[in-house]
Amino acid sequence: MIKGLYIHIPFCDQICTYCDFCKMVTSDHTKKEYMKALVKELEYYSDLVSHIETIYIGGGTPSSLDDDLIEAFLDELETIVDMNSIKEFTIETNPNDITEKFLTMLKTHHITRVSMGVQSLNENLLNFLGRTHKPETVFHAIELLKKSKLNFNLDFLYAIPGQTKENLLKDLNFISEFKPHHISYYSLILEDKTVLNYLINKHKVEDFDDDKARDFGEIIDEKLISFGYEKYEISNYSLPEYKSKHNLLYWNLDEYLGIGLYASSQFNHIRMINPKKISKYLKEIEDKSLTMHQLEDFNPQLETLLVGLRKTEGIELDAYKEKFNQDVFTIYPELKKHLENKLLKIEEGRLKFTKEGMYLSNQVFVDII
Amino acid sequence: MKLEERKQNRIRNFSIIAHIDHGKSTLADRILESTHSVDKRDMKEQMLDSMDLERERGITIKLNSVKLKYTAKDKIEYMLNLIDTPGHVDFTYEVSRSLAACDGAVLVVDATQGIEAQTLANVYLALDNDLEIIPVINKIDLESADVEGVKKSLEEMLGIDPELCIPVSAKTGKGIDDVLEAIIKRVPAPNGDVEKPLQALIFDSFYDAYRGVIPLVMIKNGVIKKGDKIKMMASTSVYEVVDLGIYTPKELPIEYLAAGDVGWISAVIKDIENVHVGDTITHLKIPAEKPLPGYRELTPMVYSGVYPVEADDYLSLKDSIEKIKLSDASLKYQPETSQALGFGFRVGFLGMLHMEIFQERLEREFDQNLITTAPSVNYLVYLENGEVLEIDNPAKMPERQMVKKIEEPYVLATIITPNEFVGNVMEICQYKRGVFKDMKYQSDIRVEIIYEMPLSEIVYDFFNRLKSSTKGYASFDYELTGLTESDLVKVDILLNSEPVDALAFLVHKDFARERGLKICQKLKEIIPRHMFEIPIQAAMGSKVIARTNIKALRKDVLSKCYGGDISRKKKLLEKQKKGKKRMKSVGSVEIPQEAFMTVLSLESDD
Repeated sequence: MIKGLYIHIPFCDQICTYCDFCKMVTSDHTKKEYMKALVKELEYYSDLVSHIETIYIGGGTPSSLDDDLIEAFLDELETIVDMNSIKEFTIETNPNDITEKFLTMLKTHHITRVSMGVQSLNENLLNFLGRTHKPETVFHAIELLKKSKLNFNLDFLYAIPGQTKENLLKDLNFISEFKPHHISYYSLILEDKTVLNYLINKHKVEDFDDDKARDFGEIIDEKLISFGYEKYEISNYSLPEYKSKHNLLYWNLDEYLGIGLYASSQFNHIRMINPKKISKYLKEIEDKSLTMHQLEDFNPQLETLLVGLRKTEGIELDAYKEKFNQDVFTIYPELKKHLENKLLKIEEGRLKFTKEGMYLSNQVFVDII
Repeated sequence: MKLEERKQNRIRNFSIIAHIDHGKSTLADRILESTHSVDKRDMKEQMLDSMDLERERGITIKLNSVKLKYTAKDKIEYMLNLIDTPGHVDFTYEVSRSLAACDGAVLVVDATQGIEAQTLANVYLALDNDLEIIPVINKIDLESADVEGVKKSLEEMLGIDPELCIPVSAKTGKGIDDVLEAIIKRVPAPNGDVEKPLQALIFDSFYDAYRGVIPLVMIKNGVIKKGDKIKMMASTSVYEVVDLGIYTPKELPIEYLAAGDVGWISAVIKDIENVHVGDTITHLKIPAEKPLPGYRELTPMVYSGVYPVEADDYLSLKDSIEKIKLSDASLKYQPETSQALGFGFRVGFLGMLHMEIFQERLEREFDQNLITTAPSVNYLVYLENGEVLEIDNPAKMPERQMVKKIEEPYVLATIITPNEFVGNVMEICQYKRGVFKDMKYQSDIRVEIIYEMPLSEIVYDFFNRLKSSTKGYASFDYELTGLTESDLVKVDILLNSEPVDALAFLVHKDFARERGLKICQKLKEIIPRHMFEIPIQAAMGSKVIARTNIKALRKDVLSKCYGGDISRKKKLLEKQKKGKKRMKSVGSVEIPQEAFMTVLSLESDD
């Protein structure tokens, strides 16, 4: 049964140097067309999404849309989805876009959670990343969020080229002061086809040292836990009771529907993905031919591990065995080696990464993929 | 044409000698054009270089010969046989055999560059073969052309009369007719005798999938016809001529080849081992008394291990090498095993270019994924127990205490450089254990420097160094002089305390520590971090002379993974896995392919 709905808004005011997500800077006209198309796609699936538990509007930068455009879409959404059954409804935002009016509008439309991309509070690093906001904007936005009583997540980055330990400690200090309900703390990854990757390949910017990144990661773990957060996934931390319900769907390999450009869905034992090109997406919605999805390889035996082990609680061995009629070590005997070298451990019937394993998880995944 | 009507005095056999880039192929093109041998339509640039690789590198590896008709100013029609030669030092012997098939040589010198070392070496070969030299100064259309300067240096270096030099522009076609007239007037007609027993010089051969090995020959004496029973005098194998002919440059079968003619012979020859460049073909029934002079067996100068990346590809690699061997008699190979690399081959080459061409052909034409080890020379090792071994693979070197002495091949290297780089060149030669022999000024600005040095040092990135320290101006040639005793040691490279045989190398004792350390450092860069620390050591016997460490991997994680990412992240992991698979595991360490070449490329990025 489909438990979650993901809605992709691929628009941004400016493209960040490190971002390889599906995003673009485009005209108001295209944005309008796109939002209309989203509604059509949603209507097509209306029977599947009537009883979902979570909604997540991600991007791109959903908050970069005009308030009117968002509101019009949310109005339509409410006619299709039973909002009473929704346990968590998140929207991604940019600090620049947070206003009192905006937050009020979100609340009126049943949004329960705001995720805001802070990344860092150092102005130089923000500039380097191509972020348009200033530290003061963040302070102001958080004040408004607190006032709104909405539950909120802040995204942070570490291992940014040029970032010092001092910078990091300042960011952590800020977190202890403002206590967001949830934090996603990502290590900056060099993705192909990004400005940052170009800069590093051309030696215009020095890549961040892996050892230092590991040290930073450990500082983050330690500090956040001391602030009262629980690390429940490789890059995610929450106060008790504030884990992201929607993202847990992914890590539990539950069924979800994704709509919009390049959005993926996984249900009925298939994974499929929407077109990446906006003109193609719009045309297919127009032609009602979007049922011709591109199917992607779906291997639940493997993926249960690839995503499940990202959680600190790991996966339940009995449940795995029951689901696939075979012991996980029978299917993937290579895992045993990593129990021996202490990247993995078994605790209370669950297979999970050790602290070391969390940082070297690819070494395990590469062996079973 | 009937044999009786044939006029041998209207034949001219010649080749073109030139340095890379001095315009040999372009000149050949112009000659083909002005003798109307090729339709403008069919003309592609550099007609005679048939392999893609040749055209790309601007060098001629394979020899092609072509028969041209030319009506000279005296209104008489002459037959010109142009025998093209490779320009590279690796193929000196082949060049000498091609030249032996000629009576004259057109020496092409770039008016902007002057004469180069390899050209000089080839001119000496031509003079050894008593060839008439026709000096041609090319690229006179260029602004920087110094025709008088080149004339002067040709006079000083080779005693060439400046009056005889012909200025041309192969690019524009200016002066080409003068060259053709000079060939007619100055090159003597072949002096062979049709009545004598057959002596045909094999100066090249190639492999044809349908007809087998096709030798290219110059008939010194006698006549050869279809149906003749022939014998190779050195290899003693016997065949029957199925077909023969000439190139115009298209292949054209004809009735016979007689004294002075140049052409091809098809005789169902299956094994290239029986067709040696330099060998003499004669008739089985009425054989010549003795073969033509100058034949010798080719011996490789440089050896390298060639292994498939995937062990499963061994047979396919073997098959590909056999196919290349069909058209390359100078290639020698035999199976070899390495603890690190598994099953592969030890391949012997005439020189570094030959090796590179071989590797490139395997990769390009046969789609092989290769690991090649650093090149080695052939060492003569005297053991304490009186035994003498030939060692062409450092990994096979016996333990030090068993070795009495090691001899290594030495060469006489001739380097020609603008005088501003003399200091740089000498520095490299000294560093490469060279012993200074001589220095001559060819002109006010060009110097010829002669050093005696170990071949192994030339194999080991000498050419790149020479080029980069002379801004590419120096040219270089060498000839083997013999074996000399050297204080050489074997250096083992140990990864995680395990010696890796394919990384072992031999080096002069004085350089062991320095080179060992460089290799350790280079490997540290190339080998990815593992989950454990890896010590890298260089050792002479049990004595460690250099060491470094690859620190343990501490972070290898996908920081972000949500619904939409899973497929992409899976692909990333698959890519990572593939990269891992392409590496060779030695003990518990995964080594990327390029690591095995580091021993070679070490100094190129100093």
